[in-house]
Amino acid sequence: MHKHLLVAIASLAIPMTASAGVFDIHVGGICSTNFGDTLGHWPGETSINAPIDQRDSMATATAQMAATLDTYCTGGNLCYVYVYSNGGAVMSRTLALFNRSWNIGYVAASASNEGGSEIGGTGFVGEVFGGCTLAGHIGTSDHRNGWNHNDTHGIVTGMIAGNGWLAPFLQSAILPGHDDGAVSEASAGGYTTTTGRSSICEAAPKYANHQAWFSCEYGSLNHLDMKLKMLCNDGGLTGCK
Amino acid sequence: MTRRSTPRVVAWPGARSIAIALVALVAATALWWHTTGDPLEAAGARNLVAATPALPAAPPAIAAPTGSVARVAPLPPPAVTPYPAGGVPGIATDDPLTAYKKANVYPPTSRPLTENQLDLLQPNRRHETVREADQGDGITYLFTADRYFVIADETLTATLVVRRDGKPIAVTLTQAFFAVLDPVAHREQPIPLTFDSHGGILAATIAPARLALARQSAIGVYVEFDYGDGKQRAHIDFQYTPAAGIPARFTGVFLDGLESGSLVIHAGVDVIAPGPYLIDANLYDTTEQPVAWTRFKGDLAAGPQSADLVFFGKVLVDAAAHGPFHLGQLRGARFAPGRDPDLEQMPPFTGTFTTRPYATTDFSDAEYDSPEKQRMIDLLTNDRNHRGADGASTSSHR
Repeated sequence: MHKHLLVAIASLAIPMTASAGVFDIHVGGICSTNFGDTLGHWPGETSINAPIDQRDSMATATAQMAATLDTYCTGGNLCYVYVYSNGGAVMSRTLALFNRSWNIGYVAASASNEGGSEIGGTGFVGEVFGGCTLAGHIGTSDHRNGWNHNDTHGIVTGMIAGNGWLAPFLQSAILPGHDDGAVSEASAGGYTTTTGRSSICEAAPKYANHQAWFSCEYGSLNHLDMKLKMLCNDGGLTGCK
Repeated sequence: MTRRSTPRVVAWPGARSIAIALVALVAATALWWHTTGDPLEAAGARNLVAATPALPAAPPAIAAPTGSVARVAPLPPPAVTPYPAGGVPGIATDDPLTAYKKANVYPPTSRPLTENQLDLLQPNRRHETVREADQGDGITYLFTADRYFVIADETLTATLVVRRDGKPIAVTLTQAFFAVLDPVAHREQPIPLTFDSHGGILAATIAPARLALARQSAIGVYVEFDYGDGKQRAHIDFQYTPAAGIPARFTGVFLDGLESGSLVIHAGVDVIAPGPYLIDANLYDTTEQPVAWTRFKGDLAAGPQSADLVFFGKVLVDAAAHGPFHLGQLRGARFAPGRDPDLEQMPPFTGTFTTRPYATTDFSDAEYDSPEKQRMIDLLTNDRNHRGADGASTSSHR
């Protein structure tokens, strides 16, 4: 009895974080069903290739994102979420719609399509992204009207953006301001309007808790180059351009 | 080789030590509770006390303990300056813990609002921009509409303007139709659409009520036009809520009051479909300047209900705002996970509501706190693998 009491007291003294696992969630882009083969890795942590289907519906992707966060980011666990392209929109939408207590240190977004892409709905979409139904419905009005981007659960979203040429396409003529060939910096930088930007450091209203990290833009990196850049910047991968 | 003596490790403390530790723990907890105030107060606990002054922000004075007992009162955490409402200028460099604290001076769903935050001030504006034609040819066009959300008997007007070298030109529409989107079975049925010319602008009005839809739907509008040298396709989407699919309506009945130092407006809602709701609103001060936005995020049962719109005290204090306040852009949706679309829109409240007068000093300037926030601070304090924006100083990211 005495021993049991001591065990109980000792267990109370253990901080919740003592048994916590840290999970690094990776979310891919439009038309994907996961992040792909290359993930970031951090010592002592577990990298997760999130099974998010972004081929047909933002509603489906949002529900799958929530299920992933339910699995890894509750209790004593801590998550960091690395999103690429339209994965940034999926994550933002999930935080805005659900009312759950996920433990997320931050969201790190490469070339985020959170603000929608002007090329959504044009013939270019299939060529750039591989082609899927959802690619035609990720336009600026779809994403900017679709949810309250300022409701992030208090989680900071760090953003990086490229301004490289995505040969052989001509989307830069369509996208306002600087862009990486698929998304404009107005989207990738978390700005509240589609006004063209010359960098994501430009002083203009951004969604709450969205901020530029590491660089105002990567002038030579296109949308495809940007995919792994945040993982390298944050110490989980090497060998990026 | 000298053998080092192993220091004696006591695996289990004695019962007396445990008792002393427990007493000290209880005393420290009680002292912390009294010196910091109820953390739930700062989070906006829901006990409405109409028109009563806010509790003083400063913690109540604690009588100095007598005797030789060591003082263990923790130092209050240093004040944190919140991130600006419009974002951090330039490149952020805060470590994750500092960033989290700065992002959570206010509650996640009750924050400052400035006149530049057009996404919140004009929630139904569209965002299309002028595009260049796929083939160039000096052709630009803008295909857009007058709104994104259409409710019940409302109509949507889609417009197309085509220019060559900046000047409007006449084009021939080779295709024009709209279709209810079907993301699962992809059985979209094109419905022909007629555009009329109005001074160089092609316009078409869509009345989705004629479709007799049962629930929230996404509708796509498609055009193909011939500008002489080539053809161009374009499309936009909008969201339609049929009368039969309206999940709830604002009743126009409001009650405002002070609750733990925050302004709370209880908005009457007649709920048809129970479930989780997201209800957003903006607050304007007595000079009609936007000062705060808020969001109700919770379950509502069927029948007459109230959605509590909490405008956090510190947000109003930091804005030096005083009332009477005016409620604006009150809108909402029922969240239906698993359905597509998964947000069923409520008709926005088009009336006005003005609160009673309030002085800035009526509100608390206490920082937001909650068990969730403290848990995140603990977790981030103990994890140093990820440096986030702070990694700029050491990594070779450039």
